[in-house]
Amino acid sequence: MTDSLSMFYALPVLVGLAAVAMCVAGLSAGLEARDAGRPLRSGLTVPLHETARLLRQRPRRTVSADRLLWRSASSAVIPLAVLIVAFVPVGAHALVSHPLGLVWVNAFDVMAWAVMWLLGWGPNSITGLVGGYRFLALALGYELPLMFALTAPAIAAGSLDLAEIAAAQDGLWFAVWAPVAFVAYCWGVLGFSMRPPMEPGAGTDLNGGILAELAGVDRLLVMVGRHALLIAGSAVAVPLFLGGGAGPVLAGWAWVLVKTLGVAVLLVLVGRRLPTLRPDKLLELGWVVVLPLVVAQDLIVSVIAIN
Amino acid sequence: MGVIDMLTKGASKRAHVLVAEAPGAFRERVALECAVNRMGWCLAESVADADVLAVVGDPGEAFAAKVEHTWAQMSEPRERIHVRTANEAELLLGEAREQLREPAAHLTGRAIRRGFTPSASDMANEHEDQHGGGAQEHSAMMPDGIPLAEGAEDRDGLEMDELCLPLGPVLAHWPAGVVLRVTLHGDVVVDATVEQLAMARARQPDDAIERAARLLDAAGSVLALVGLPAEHARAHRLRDSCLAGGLLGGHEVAAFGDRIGRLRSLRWVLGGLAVEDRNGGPKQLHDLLTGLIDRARVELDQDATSHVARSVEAIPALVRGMELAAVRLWLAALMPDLAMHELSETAHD
Repeated sequence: MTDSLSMFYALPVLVGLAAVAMCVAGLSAGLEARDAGRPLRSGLTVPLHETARLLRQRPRRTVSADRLLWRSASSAVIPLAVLIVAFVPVGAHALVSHPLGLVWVNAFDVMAWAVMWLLGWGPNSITGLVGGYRFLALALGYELPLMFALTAPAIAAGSLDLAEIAAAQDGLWFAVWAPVAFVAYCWGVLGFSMRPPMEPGAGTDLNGGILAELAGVDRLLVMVGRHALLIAGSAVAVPLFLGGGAGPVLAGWAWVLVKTLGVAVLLVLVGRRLPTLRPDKLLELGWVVVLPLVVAQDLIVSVIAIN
Repeated sequence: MGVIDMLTKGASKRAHVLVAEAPGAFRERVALECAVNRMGWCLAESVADADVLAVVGDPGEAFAAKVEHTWAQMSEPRERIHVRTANEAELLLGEAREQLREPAAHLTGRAIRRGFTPSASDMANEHEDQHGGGAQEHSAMMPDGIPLAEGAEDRDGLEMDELCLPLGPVLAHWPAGVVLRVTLHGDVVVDATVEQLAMARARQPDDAIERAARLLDAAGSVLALVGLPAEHARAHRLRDSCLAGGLLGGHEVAAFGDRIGRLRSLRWVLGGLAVEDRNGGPKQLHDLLTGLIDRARVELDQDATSHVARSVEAIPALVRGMELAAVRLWLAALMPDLAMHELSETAHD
């Protein structure tokens, strides 16, 4: 078991998370601007303007809303992302080092089910309710493949501690010889952070679904939280599949940052080109195609690990 | 005050505009969308998301009432503009931006503004209209004036709560002036009634360019609802250059149509969304989408044949049994048909 970093390092980790989230949000907005015919540069500062706009906006209440649950859910998205990132080893140590780190990370992403559904249920609005249930239907499709995908690096490294999994990849990354698990994991990350193409719960056809009734600071917290969850998921992929902080020239923490940014940018670019997956289509895909493939991948990994 | 100034300037660089398109104001709406795009702003996806409410065209009385209802639900800081002609869109948006840059002194109060609260009598009346007078015994249990949902049997024989939801007229990617009141079991539509709000002014007959632009606009709306923002932006750019007269012949539109047809993921996601055609066979939504682009190309190539348009009254039969997302997609795809039918109706008056 490796030691935890002192809580003094909590601030740099938070700053790193915020910086990467801002870069990725800027990239998304820049690509949108380029689609609309404006230069890419004009979109890069959009996240800052959106933050200013939402800070100025007055909060909104709907009739008979469940205010306690609604507000707790909107405030809980960012802490969930921070808790996931706390387990990622930055360099040699993580903020929270635990022999069952992988299980904790999975537990937190399952908590996203409750948070997203409460965001939909809280405002007492039909669009929110339908969005919340769509998210749950989606989660039934991606969660099992995600869990099986998480067991592949654990089997290969013989440990549930993220730092030990990272260390067990000397030379060959798990993403190279367990690619199906990597893809299923990335798919799961897009799912729990509700990013395209896994965003029927927040889709345009529902006026934004779970986001439809949010205004002001609550909306800002949820939008930032979605990006933060994407970055947190990408950060966890680094020790699991991409060798952790290992690499020439740069320090361990710098490599973790670079690799996280790389995975997040890849997810954004690939996600944009796919249409929003409707829950019934996704359940079909998840249970009939992806789950058997991931279980087969686990079998291959087990056979290789035994030899 | 430096931080607040910075926030205000930053916020005014990116406002979200909610478009309330009155029937018969297609060109003005396109001009508004172009102006919003040029300013670096974007369109709002819901009322809570909006800073500026843009009423386009000449609203009739019923439409104006709906617009007031929407205005009451917006959060401050909010602005309102009324675009009557295509040329004044940019000017009015600039004025709205100046207004948004005003120091927000009046926002520091703690006063809560009541946007909209349903009154008990309103909700009871609406409930009666739907069920023919059977809702009186529930009047004691009406938290905040909203009656509890009644149960009804759904397609599997289970008892599901019924919800009545009015869709439109202030809704993105939606035919202008159409109000569709649906009765939902969960998110499946079991019943619908449709109402077309009247145009307040007579509309000029459209030409091939405008028809092609409407078809491209509808294709863009379907692509946006399906979740392909890049293709949606491309369709809208084609629409804008078509209206500006920049498209000679249908080559670019044909290339765009090929591109959309080649997207296998789109075909797979839209698979299974079919309705009964006039001839009785199933009509796939994907075919309708590629058909829209093809018709636009045909209009631009100037060899259009007459097309039998679906009318507004056909919508309730069409949407029965669909889920909400599919309803939005189909209505976006049928936008040019409804507009053409409406035009031929007013032409015959």
